[in-house]
Amino acid sequence: MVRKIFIQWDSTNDCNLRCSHCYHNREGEEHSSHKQGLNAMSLEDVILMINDLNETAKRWSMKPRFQISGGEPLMRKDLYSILEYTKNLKMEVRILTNGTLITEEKARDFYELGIRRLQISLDGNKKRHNLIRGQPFAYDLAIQGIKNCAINNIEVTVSMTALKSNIQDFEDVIINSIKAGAKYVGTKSYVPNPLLGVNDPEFLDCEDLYLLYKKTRDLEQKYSKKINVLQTEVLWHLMQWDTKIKKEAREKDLFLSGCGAGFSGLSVLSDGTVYPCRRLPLPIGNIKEGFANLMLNNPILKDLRDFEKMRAKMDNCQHIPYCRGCRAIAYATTGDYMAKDPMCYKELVTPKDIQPRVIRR
Amino acid sequence: MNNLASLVESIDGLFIKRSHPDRVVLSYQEKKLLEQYISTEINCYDCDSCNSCGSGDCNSCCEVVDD
Repeated sequence: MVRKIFIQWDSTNDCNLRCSHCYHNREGEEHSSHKQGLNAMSLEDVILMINDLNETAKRWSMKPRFQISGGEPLMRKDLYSILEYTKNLKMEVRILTNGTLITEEKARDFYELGIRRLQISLDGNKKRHNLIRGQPFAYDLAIQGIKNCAINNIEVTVSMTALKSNIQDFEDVIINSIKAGAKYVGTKSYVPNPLLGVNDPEFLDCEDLYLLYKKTRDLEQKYSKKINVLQTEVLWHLMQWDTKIKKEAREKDLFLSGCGAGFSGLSVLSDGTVYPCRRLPLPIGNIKEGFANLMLNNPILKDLRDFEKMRAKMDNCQHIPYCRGCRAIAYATTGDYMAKDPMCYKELVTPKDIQPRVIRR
Repeated sequence: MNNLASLVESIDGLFIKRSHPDRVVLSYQEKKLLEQYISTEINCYDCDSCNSCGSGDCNSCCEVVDD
């Protein structure tokens, strides 16, 4: 088993959609090139960044992964040149897209350029998705994008941002993901607007999340033969069996898994500004300062690796080596990235809820 | 040898063994980071579609198969 380290890169701020929950439209994003009016990274700078990731991964005996996000990554004009480069390096690449621009030809090109898995967002039934995404064509084109990938042997993960207004649509999303040929489907938690915090009307509290996860389990059982319904967000640990490896991580107080901020990779904006995670808008430098240098020396990342300090803010939680909640949601709701995740539902868990982790491939 | 020193040495050895037949010297800070990663062999849950980071794809955390 080889660990992975990643860069998630906002390839561009351009997008053909205007989604209501997008980070790009928020306060606190003034470091993005979109707000500063700076140029996006040049192709040369992107190549240097990819080389840096590749070399650091080799040095640490890890596997590099390059995740290309946006804006909408398909609007980056030199995307194919970048993918040719990563293909030559045999680097694992994921594209995170709204799916609307993936024609059959593009899906074929992506496969040729080494893309084997890709993520497309669906945020509810057709009506709600189009409302959230701000365009009446968004849903149909996203579904077509999933189909185009599937027939070109690219596995698609459908991701739904779980909001107060759309959680009832999750089964609809699963059914339509199956019809379109997706292989995985899951929800991800919504980071509330920091100006509103827990009062953001779309924010799910701990009880909402607990109920959503229980419902997800039922849906996983119902559709398990047709699609992988993911149970992988960090707070799922609270409802899953303890294991030898978790016990060992607790005993030695070492990082096993959970929130990757500070451990697993860096998020790079289109102008090279680095965040610990795309959802945690704390600029910690520029990628030109070097992946390893930032990972090793940045004080915020060191904080995020300081379990002792974290435990002091999280009522001595025992799950820190493999959970830690979402640091971005903690920050958005309290202003403190070391605080307890308000979505943590561990007080609600009953012994009946503790079940094995479901892993299907 | 105390536990920490032993752990650092074993991790260093493990990383060199895996892909660097000719010795790679890791800095002290690199060792400090890598020693935080649990050093036992673990079965990787294929978290390619994990969404833990919420910003899209996997946060590359390694997961465990239930034992």
